[in-house]
Amino acid sequence: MMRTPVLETQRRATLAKALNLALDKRRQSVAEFANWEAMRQRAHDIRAGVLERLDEYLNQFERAATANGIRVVRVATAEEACRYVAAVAKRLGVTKAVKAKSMVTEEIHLNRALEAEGIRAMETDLGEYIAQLCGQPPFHLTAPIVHLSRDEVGRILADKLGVPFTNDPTQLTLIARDVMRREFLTARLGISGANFCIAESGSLVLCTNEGNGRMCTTLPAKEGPRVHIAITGIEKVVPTLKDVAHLLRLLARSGSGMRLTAYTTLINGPRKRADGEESTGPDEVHVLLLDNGRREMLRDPHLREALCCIRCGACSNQCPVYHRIGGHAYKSVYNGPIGSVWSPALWESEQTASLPFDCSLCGACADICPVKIDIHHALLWQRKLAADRGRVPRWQRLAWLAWRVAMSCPTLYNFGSAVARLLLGPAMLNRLGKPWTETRDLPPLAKKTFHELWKEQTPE
Amino acid sequence: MQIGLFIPCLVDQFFPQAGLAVARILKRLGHSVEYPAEQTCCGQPAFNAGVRSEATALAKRFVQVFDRFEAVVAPSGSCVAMVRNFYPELLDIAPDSPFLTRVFEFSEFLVDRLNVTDLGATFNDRVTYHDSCHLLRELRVQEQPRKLLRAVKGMDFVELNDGPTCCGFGGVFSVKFPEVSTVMGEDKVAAIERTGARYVTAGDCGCLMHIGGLLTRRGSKVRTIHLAELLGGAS
Repeated sequence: MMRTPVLETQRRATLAKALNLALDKRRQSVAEFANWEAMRQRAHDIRAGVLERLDEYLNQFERAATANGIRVVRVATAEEACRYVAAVAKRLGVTKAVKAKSMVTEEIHLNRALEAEGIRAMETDLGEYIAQLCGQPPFHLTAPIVHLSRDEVGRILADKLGVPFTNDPTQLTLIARDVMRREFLTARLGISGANFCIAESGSLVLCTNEGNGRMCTTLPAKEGPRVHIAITGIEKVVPTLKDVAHLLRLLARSGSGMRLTAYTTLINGPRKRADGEESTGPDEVHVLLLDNGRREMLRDPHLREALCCIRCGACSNQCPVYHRIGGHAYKSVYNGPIGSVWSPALWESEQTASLPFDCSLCGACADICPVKIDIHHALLWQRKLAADRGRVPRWQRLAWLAWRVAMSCPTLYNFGSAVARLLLGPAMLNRLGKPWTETRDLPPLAKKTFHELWKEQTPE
Repeated sequence: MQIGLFIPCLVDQFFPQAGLAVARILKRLGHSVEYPAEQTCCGQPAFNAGVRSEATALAKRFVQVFDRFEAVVAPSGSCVAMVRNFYPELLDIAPDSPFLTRVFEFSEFLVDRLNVTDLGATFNDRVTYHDSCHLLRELRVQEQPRKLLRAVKGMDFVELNDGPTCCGFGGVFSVKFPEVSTVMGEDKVAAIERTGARYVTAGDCGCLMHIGGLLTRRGSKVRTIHLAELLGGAS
């Protein structure tokens, strides 16, 4: 039996403090709207509407973006996406790139692929940068190092950069800024994700909190051609700017409790030639629209809804299991409740197939989801798919079969409970119920079942 | 009203008193209560394990057994949620099909269907209420048990103030992931103890078995009691 480890007590406390703070701030910022529930429904309708006519919106986006001078590229797989980025880097003749935080680039393991081609991709979101320094994947969809304390971050920076130790957030930020500024001023290749792609205008929307997103996409280097590549999933297209405005009201509030992320960047294309020397912006903007399993999800009516996700991270903040096991336990780029729906869909394996089972089905994730994804019901569907694919061991299937046969026949069921009462004393029951009784008492079987007691009370 | 008692497996095997209390209360309110002896399980364990074909067989059986009643009442939010929320998918029937609208959890049946909140019960102690996840989030039953509890004479009812968050039971989850389940339960138990209550009540025996198992293991004085038993008093 695969047992998911629980984080040690101190780590759990650090994590809970951060997540609960986000939940508290969320409660306050959501309370600003009397019609929050209606807003969730509208957000759901916007996203679900897109998925119903995805190709239409993708084509519209592509036409509008192309007219803006953006190169739109459809990529089917992670390898294809990585190859494309590496080819652009080679054409530019650069060996480094600056990156804004993006889960899709984590999904395709872009940094690793670029490194194999001799290109160093530097993360510039502070949390992601620190995660990169430690060689760790992000712990959370929106907060990559939410599990680390200030002291730990201070020690990592001191260790990896050779700077004096400090645990003062301002000092830590200044240290990181020093390093990053040098990179920003010389980088000619910037990589980002996109929170939304607006179909009507062909624009990209990028939500960040540190301003690094703007640095990575405007690329202030003086020398040579500069290129911004945005990589995002095909599901991220949204019909209109008005729709995006609505989704933005929910996105940051749900994740961190902020009304908006500190920076909301709309990118409408590369620098225009007529803008002259002083104008900012890269010479080329490329958008990679990644499938990587999403169309497969789209075809399954039970999984399709999960594509509504706007990656706010609220479901992780709320999930009682995530609180105890943390993001790395999922061993998947996408973690937390929504990650357990996505991961088996994108990467079917024994490991990912087990994720939907590591859940008590409490449903708190679905209640907090700003786009109203029935996350725990999608997890139940993933459990069914896992069983259909033979991921439930044969002996378990047989046990369920036997269980069903017994449950279909009251005589057999009642005979079973009578035998259990004869054979299973408290000691025996304790031994058999091992995974339970190690930490919890098991009540004894009732001397008589309800069935028997009822029969005694109501003689025929 | 002709009521069919739906007694889930856990109640049948471990907590028959909760089932008897439901019958007692409904009879006292003047209804005819019948326990169809051929009932077994609603199919939830197999459904949650992903083995839907086995669950479907039991779902069909369940409908056959209970179809003849005006109302079906169970002392469990979880098993009623299984029937009302997941049978439509399993049996390919409408979510508002007449049979499903006749299946109730005990507290919602009293408050919503019978319009009863005061059962004339007395309970001289401090009590807190645990929202079981399926009752709260699948059936959206939150106020009904509280209305019933507030009407109890002599009782000092205190809210739990912990979310409401899951106790970590989750059926097979509790034995498949015992460490995670236990830590969730320990936090729940700590929240219960902070209220200073002597009893914790709930509408689901699964949660109560989990919470109770942790309480007695740590030697706590707090006891668990099913809502129906608390409201039904002694016979």
